[in-house]
Amino acid sequence: MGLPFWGPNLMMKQIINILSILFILTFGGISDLYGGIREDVEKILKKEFTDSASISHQKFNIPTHIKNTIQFKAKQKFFRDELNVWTIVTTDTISHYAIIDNSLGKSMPITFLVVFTTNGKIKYNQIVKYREPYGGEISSLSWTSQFIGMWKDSEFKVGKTIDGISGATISTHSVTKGIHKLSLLFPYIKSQLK
Amino acid sequence: MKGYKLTMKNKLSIIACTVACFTFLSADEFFEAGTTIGGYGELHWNQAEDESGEKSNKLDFHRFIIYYGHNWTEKWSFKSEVELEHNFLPGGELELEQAYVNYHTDKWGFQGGVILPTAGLINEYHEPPLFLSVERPTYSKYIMPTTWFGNGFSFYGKFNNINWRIALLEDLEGEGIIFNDDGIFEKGNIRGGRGKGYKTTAYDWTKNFSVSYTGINGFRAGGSFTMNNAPINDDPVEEGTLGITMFETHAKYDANNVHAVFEYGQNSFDVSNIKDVPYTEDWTSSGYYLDLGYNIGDLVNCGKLIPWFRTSSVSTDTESDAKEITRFGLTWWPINNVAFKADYGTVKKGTSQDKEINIGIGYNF
Repeated sequence: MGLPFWGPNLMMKQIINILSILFILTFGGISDLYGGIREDVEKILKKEFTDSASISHQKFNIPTHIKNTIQFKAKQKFFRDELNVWTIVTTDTISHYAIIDNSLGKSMPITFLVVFTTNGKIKYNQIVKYREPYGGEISSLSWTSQFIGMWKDSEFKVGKTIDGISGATISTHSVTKGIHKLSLLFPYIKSQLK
Repeated sequence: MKGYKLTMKNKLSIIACTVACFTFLSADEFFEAGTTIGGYGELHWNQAEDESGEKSNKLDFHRFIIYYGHNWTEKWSFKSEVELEHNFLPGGELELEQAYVNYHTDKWGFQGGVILPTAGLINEYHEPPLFLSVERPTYSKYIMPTTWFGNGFSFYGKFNNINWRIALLEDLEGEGIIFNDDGIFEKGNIRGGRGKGYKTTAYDWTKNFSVSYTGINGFRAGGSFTMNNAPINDDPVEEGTLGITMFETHAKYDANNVHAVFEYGQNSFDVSNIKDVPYTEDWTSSGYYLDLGYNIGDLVNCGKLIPWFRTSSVSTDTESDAKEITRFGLTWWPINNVAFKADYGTVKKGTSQDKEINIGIGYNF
C-alpha cells in the first residue's frame, strides 16, 4: 500500500483495505450518490410540479465546440463540462427540463437552478445554494422571479431588465450571466437530452 | 482482535483516514476547495479653494486593496483584505483591513479575526464603484467612520428578508477621540477612536448590533447601534473611560434607473468616567447625507451614467457650526467594475465656504 508504518498485521491490512475502498468510492463516484444538492433540486422540482410528474436525472457532457460558443457569448464559464439535467414528464409528455450550474460570487460558487419549457422559456429558477456571508438576498423569490418568461434572446442586463440588489452587486451580475448562459445553451442541447 | 494491538501511530492514521473520508463524503460535486484573489482601488484628483482664495491641488492613488480568500469547505473559509493608502510608506498606511475565519450555513454564520462592524451603508460595501462621489461622503468620515475595522468576532443570520448581525470588537480608543495631536483635550469625533487592530484592548468590548431589510428588489433599509466604554490610553482603571453610543439608520434604492441613498447617524460621548478631564460636559455628533441620481445611460447608449446631487450636514460638536455640504456629480460605469467620477461641491461652515472639484477613477474585481 506504500505505507510501511502500518505494519504487516492482517487485521491492519483489512482496515487499510476498507479505508482504501472508501477513498476509491469517494473519488470514484460515491460523492455523486451522496447528492446533497441533487436531493435539494429534486425536492424543489417535486414541489414545483405535481406529484404525478415524473422527474428523471441525467448527466450531460457539453460538446466542446458548443461549450466554447456559449461561454464566449455569456462571458461566463461552465463549472464543469458535465451538466446535471432533469427531465420532467407530465401526462406522458416531456414538459420541462431543469438544469443546474454554478456561477462565482466574490469567492464562493453559487449553485442555481433553471427550469425551461420545451421551447426554451424560463418557467422557474432558484438559488439552490448560496455560500457567502454577504449578498444572500439574491435567493429571494422577488429577485429570482424576474427571470420568468425570459429566453435566449432576452436582454439579461442588471439595472435594466433585471433589478440589482444593494450589497450583492457581484452575485447579481454573476447569477444573471449564469442564467443567460443556460438559456443560450438549452436550444443547442435540447434534442440530445433524454 | 485476539493477538492484535494497535499502536498509537496506527490509531492516529486510522482516525485521520476516517476523517478524510467523511470530509470528502460530506462535500459535493458543486464545490471545490480553492483560493480567490480580488481587489479594488481608486485614483483621485482633488482641487479645493477656500474663501481666501488659497488653492490646493492633489493627485493621489488613495487606496489599493488586495483581497485574498481561501475556501477549505463550503462552510469554512478565510477572507482578507490588505490595503495600501496613498501609495507610499511611510506617510501612507498599510493596513490589514480584514482577515477572518468564516463559518457559513444557510441560516447563520460566524466570523472571527479582523472584521468590519456593521455601521452605515459604506463601511461594509466600500468598493469605489458602489458609491457615487469621488471621495466617500464626509459623513462617512466623521459620523460613521469608514473603513472601520478591528479585532473581534461576529454572528450573523437571516430570517425571511431580515438580516441580523451581532459583532463584538476591540475597545475604541478614548484618547484618540478626546485629545488632539498635541495632547490637548478637545472634543473630537469618532474617527480618532478606531484602534485598527493594533495592540488593542477588550476591557468592555465594542458591542455592535444591526438589522437590515432587503425584501424589495434594489431596496435596502436598516440601522445599527454600537456602544463601548473606551479606555483612555488603554488604562480604564487609572485614566478612566469615555462612554460612546453610536446609532445610525439608512435606506438605499437602486433600481428602475433611480439611485437614492439616505443615512442619518448620531454619536454620544459621555465624559463622566474619565479621570482628570478638564471638562465635564458630554457632547454629541450627528449628520446625514442624501444622494439622488438617475441613470441616463440608456438615453445616450453608454453603459450606466448617473448625474446626481448630494446634500449633507455633518456636526462633530453640538456647540459649533455644522458643515453643510452640497455636491453635484456625474458618474459613469462603462462596465460594472469600473467607475469614472467627477463632482463639484461647496462646504459651508458658519460664514466660510470652500469649493471642491474632484475627478476620479475606481475599480473592483
